Amino acid sequence: MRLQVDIDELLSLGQRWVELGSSPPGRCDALAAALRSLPGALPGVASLPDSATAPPWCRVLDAWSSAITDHGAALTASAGAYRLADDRTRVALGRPS
Amino acid sequence: MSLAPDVLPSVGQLRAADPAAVRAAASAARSTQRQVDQQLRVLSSGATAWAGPASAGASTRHTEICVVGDVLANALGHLATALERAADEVDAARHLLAHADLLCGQAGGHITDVGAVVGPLDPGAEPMIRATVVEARRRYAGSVLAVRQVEVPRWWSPGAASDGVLRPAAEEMGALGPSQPTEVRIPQGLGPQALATWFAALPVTVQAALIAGQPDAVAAAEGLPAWAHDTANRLRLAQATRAAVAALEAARSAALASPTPIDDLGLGALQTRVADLEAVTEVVQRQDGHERQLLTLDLTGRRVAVAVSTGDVDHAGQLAVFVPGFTVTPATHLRGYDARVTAASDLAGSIDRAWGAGAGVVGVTWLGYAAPQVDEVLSRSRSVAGRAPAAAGAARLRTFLDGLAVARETAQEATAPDVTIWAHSYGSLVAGAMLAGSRGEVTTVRAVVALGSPGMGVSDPRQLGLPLSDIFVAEAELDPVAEMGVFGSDPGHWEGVARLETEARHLPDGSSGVAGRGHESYLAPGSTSAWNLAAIAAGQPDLALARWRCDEPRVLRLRDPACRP
Repeated sequence: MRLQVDIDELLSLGQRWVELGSSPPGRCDALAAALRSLPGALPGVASLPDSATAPPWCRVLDAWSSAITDHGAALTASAGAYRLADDRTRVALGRPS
Repeated sequence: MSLAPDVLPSVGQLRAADPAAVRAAASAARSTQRQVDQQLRVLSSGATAWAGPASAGASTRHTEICVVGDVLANALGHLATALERAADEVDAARHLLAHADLLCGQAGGHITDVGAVVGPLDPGAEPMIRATVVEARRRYAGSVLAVRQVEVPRWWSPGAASDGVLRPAAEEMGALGPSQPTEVRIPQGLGPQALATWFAALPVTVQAALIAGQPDAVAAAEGLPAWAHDTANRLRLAQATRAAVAALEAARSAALASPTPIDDLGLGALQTRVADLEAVTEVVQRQDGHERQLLTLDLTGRRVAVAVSTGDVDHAGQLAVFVPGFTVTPATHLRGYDARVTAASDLAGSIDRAWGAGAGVVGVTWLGYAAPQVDEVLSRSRSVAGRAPAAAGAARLRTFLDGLAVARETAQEATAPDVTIWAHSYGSLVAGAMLAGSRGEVTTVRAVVALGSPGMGVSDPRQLGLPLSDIFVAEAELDPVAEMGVFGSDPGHWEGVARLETEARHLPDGSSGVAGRGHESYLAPGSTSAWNLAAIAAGQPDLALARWRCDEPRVLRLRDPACRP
């Protein structure tokens, strides 16, 4: 069976996703702070909708970042599995790595 | 929204409002949106590091994550826009209050924080000051209305996938299994309304899984929001293009080795399929500042049927749907028509901002039916001389418009957009058949403009089911089709229906419109005709220039600069 995988590229792809998932949108501090100031900026306006508050946005931003990171980790783990399988195949066939 | 004065915010609260802080929140939302967009660009450019069945599951998961990111970015954009609008409303309310303060001060009085007007005021001025104060408070109270329409995407993940690892499939080391197998399926037997409600209730992660895993089913489901159709159709477009190019390459190779004449091998059909798909791809990927949506992609016919919008249909206040006619195909006409519809709908947006409510106008180039072709002229069922292609097209146009309306009405606190149809040539017969067939039923169509029409299939415009004041006709010089009148009576001779100017004229915005000549001139940028189409689509028909003599007692001529004394 021919292995149709570029393991190094897969590893690199996984690492890139992990890095992306850890980058700023996962930390929605600026957005949260700005939204928290809205009730003070709009005194007397009937209660602000959920969409104008920080928690739901931060939840979904964090979840999205985690999904990216998880997918990157999954790709990396898969690349590791492929490398292991590739090494075993080489050993079984008596070929140098 | 109309609130009684006793539940409105007080004058003191309006004075204490801080629109700059609201703008700062809008700016933060916009900045977060840009960060998500930036991440999406990187994610979308991911290289394929492996091949075969291996990549299918991971690829689907990749698509799901990108779809969710796209929805998230759009939602953040809507939040930013809504907050910007809220800040504008607060500013406007404060300006009103300042005006009332000034009037009151000039009269020797002042307005207290609780809204009382005190001082030795002119009894004639007091009611106006009080009314202005109440209007300012009312405007302030409604400043966050747009924010209420913003929905935060809801997240849900199956617990089974918590370790997140994509395990290699047992049967083949080259295979990766999906991390979250999608159990959700689009329910069968539901009408558009029920389907729209069902889809709207799903968390965005499940919506994304549906789109990534079942793009054909999502694309075919009427009533789903435009963004879902767009995302599914873009996936299908990429798949179909790959398949068509591969089939064409294979056929070419086979042709070289075959004694059969090349024309008999179906190469022509494959070439037109590839050409159609390439045209669609080029248009939906245009980088001109418009977020186009691929609303329809029907691959079942001889030619690809397609509908492309110039912007976000889910949030447009008004839609202008261009319905073209004879010989139209994506390969030959989509690029040009999209460019012209984009320019005309941009102009409509400008008119809407300057003279209207500023709710936004989005254009749609609707090649959603099988337009009759030159080589079908002798076909009984497909000839441009007959009504059958128009009848089939009318049914599809109605389904398309109904689907858009249902999706919008189901969205939170949203209403269906007003639709203006720009119907060109044989397309005016399609639009006429659709309107006449829908007579007495509720549709979203507010107005129709017949451009170079050979007839709309009716002898009396009242049969279209619209008020005569919402039906318009344009006939350019040197357009022989407009004089034909072969389908019903000639719209150019309809009593009580406005004929639009197509000659060079000064336009209400101070610019000059150029004359149109011939059958393809109606949407030409800079033309008087394009101005007229834009004004009607923007809901400002009084700004359209009618082809009346100035001594005729018509309402439209009153706004016509050429008719002013």
